[in-house]
Amino acid sequence: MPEMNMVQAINDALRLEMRRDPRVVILGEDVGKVGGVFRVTKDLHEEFGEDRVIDTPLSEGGIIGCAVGMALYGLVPVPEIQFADFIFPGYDQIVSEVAKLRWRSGGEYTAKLVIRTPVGGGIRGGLYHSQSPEALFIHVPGLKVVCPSNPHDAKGLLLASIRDPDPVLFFEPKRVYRAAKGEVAEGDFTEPLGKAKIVREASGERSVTVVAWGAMLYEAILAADRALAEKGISCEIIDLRTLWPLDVDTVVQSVEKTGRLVVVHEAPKTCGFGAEIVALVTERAMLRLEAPPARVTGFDTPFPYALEMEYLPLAHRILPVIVETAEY
Amino acid sequence: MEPATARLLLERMILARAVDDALVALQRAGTLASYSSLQGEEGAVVGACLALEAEDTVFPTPRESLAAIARGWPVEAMLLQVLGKATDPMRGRQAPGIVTARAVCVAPAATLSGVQIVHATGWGWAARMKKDPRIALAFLGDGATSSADFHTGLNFAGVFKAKVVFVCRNNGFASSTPVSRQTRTETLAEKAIAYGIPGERCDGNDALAVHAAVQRAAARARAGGGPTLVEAVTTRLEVAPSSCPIARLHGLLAAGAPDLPPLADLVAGPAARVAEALAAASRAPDPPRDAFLSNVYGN
Repeated sequence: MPEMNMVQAINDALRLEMRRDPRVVILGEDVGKVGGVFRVTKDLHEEFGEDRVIDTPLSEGGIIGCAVGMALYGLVPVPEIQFADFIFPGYDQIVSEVAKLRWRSGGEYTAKLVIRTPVGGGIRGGLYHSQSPEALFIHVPGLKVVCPSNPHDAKGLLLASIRDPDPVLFFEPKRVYRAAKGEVAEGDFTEPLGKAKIVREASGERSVTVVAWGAMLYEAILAADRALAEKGISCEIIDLRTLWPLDVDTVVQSVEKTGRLVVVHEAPKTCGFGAEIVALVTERAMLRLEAPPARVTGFDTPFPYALEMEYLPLAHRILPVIVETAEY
Repeated sequence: MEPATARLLLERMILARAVDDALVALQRAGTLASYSSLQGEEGAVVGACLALEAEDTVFPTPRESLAAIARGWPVEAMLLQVLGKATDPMRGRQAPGIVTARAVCVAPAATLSGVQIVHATGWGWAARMKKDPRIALAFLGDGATSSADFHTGLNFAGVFKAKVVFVCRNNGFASSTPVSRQTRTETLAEKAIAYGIPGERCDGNDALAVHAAVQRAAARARAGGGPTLVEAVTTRLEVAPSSCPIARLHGLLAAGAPDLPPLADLVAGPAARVAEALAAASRAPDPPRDAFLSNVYGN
């Protein structure tokens, strides 16, 4: 199996699906000739031409709104929003139209599309190139939300997303676009939506379930390594992979085993997805909890430029929360 | 225009008015919480719809939900949907007067003014890419010309030569706000210039004029010549009862066809049909209590 980074794996998935399904089109700002600002769509324009890999005017509302029209026509658009921070001019289309079309029309019309967009901080992007707006989409019934952490999942989940009947927000953690490398199977395969992966199983007396996704998964792993080495605390690490629909069973089963839960995400704490995960686990496993569920998140501020490493919930901030939860 | 087409235009306008009359009455009686009447502007909507082929897709706002009637959707089906009955696929999810009618290629009516302009552009753009003879038509009100989506939709359509026609009903008011509060320009059609596409203004109270303008625009789109903005200047019936487009078209046709029955005779049949359909729809079963829980996701 070839080793790839996330960018290569996503590019591989797009190429594979465009060869397989003539309905698939890519549209976005600079996605064509230059292959996108992160080069995720590199060389696709050359192979599939300007009617299938489309450089659009600078308008996210137009990219997503036109993608809706294309989906209603019967194409399968995979629009790219250059940074998740730029998605809000298209937010009306996503919330008011994309999410509701199937429901309001009783299934007569659907907006099957996949919106790909890089998320997260740690690339010196500042307040408009660093945000993690997943909760704003998870809150809207009708949308699915995916965030892979590694090249294998990125390819398999993207292929599954494009073949899914529902609209999918596909968030790509740009901090690990090239840093996360791994073997990726050649050819066609999918990873199922709605299935979390237990990256590391807990063992022993004092254990903690740590839930993370995207780039923060690696921070959770670093923190877990130190918790084990320094305190003998064993962590069960869950990579959610799909944020909605949430694989709540996997999380609850893990917490039933460990009795402890720490959720890590980059987005601000208030009404972040961590709040929903904690609520769901508490509703289902309250009496199995040995400690209050904890969240390690970004701050309730806009995303800072100079102090982004202070803002992000990196391993050094996750570790004390794991220890505190374990020793509660 | 073929006499048969002109006659069909008149019949569909009469039928649309009959449905509108019935729904306005239901709204006044409190049976419907809301309904956006089209009275006086049937010429623009029916005229535009009859200039299309059956497989073209129309993107309306609620104000043009009667486009579905213009395109031959049975009155019975529309009333079941408006009343939110169990036998309609939408089962009361959309508010009254917001219509979705795939059977006659009418996309879900866009309540947030402007979004449908961009959808029609995307649809017509896809049709051009696929070398499909079909086109899209978006209706919009004069107020929607102020939306970001108006700019977005017309701009993308111009750049990508989308196979789309935009029909703007300019009745002078968006709800209560006059068109002078929407724009500094003299006309709405002239906004097309900024997008490098043709703009045409026509008398929206004259169904034949609208039909001709949309036919030209549709032919251009179908031939790959790109989008057109058609401004149909209309009048709400409540503002000027004398401007009724149905009476006007009837008068025009009667002048050339002395055997055309008087308007009162032509109106009676459709009114009775609508009343009958309404009575039947009212008796249809309501949806079960959990009818809103399905169709959020496809799997």
